[in-house]
Amino acid sequence: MTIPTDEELMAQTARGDRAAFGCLIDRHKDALVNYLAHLAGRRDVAEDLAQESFLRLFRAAPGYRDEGRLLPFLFRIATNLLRSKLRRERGWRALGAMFQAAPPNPTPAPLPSELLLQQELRTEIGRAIARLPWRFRVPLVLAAVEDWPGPRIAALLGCKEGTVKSRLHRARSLLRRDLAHFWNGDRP
Amino acid sequence: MSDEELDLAFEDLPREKAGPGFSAQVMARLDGQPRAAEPSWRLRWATLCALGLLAIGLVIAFALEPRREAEMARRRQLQEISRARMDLEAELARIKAQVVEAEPVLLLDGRDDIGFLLPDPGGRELPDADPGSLRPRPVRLMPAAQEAF
Repeated sequence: MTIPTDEELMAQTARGDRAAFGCLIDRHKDALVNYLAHLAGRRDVAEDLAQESFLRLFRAAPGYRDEGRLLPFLFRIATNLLRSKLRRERGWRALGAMFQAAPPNPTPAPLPSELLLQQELRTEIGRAIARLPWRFRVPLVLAAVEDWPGPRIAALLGCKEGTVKSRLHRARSLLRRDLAHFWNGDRP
Repeated sequence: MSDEELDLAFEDLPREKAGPGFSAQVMARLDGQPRAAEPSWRLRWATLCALGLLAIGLVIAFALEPRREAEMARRRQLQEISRARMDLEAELARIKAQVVEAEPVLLLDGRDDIGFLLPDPGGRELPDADPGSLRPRPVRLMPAAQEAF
């Protein structure tokens, strides 16, 4: 029995086959949640936005034209959703900060120094990624975290592959510069 | 920090996974959420444009209101002036008619309370210069006229 491709599943979904859509969800949900979590720098929004992305994909199924780019299409939906959400949050942040109490800071269990350093590095990289400008952050997460090839990223962003390469290069140099103080041990 | 170290750091990043009930939740939302629940971006833009136009209209209306009031006051004044002018013209016409109708007279002389009146040509040639109309006729003088004489 051959495994149906994304496009075949999408075509079945367009005909109202929910089981096919369920297969699509199962196939891509982890990658999408992982992508959103790293793009946002937060786990809490990733799952909800991933669900919303799948809902929108389902609604778009009847009008979807198969060009072999389902994954960029789905991830573009998710990217746009997250971008809109972050914009809305940025708008309300100033007002919300006046009324919202700071979230409780969980006290981490003591860890061996090596593990502690490793965890600290992960946290620091996550923060540094979240600080990157959007146009650099999206290709970097897709390439470095999701391991997407250049043409697929270009399809998602709607630009040329050369532009993707240039943005990736810039993103990495920005990230290296941002992490230098941590990496060199001269962290304030 | 080298490229290799950065790549290693990326590889070390934790991979997030969807929760256990993820697919079921999406399916439930598919059944529960009507398609039209969320307005499309076109509708949002249309609403925004309508609100923008309304705001512009209100601003223009408020900005023009004093000018409109001044214009109304000016029109009212013009109407009043026009009405007064018409009244004056009517009064003038009435007076002119009286003047034309009134027979110009020349008081010749008289006794205590009787004078003699003669139509006054006033240096003009009367249109109907009937010699008979120039005949003096006696009139009874009012006390004020008597005193004048």
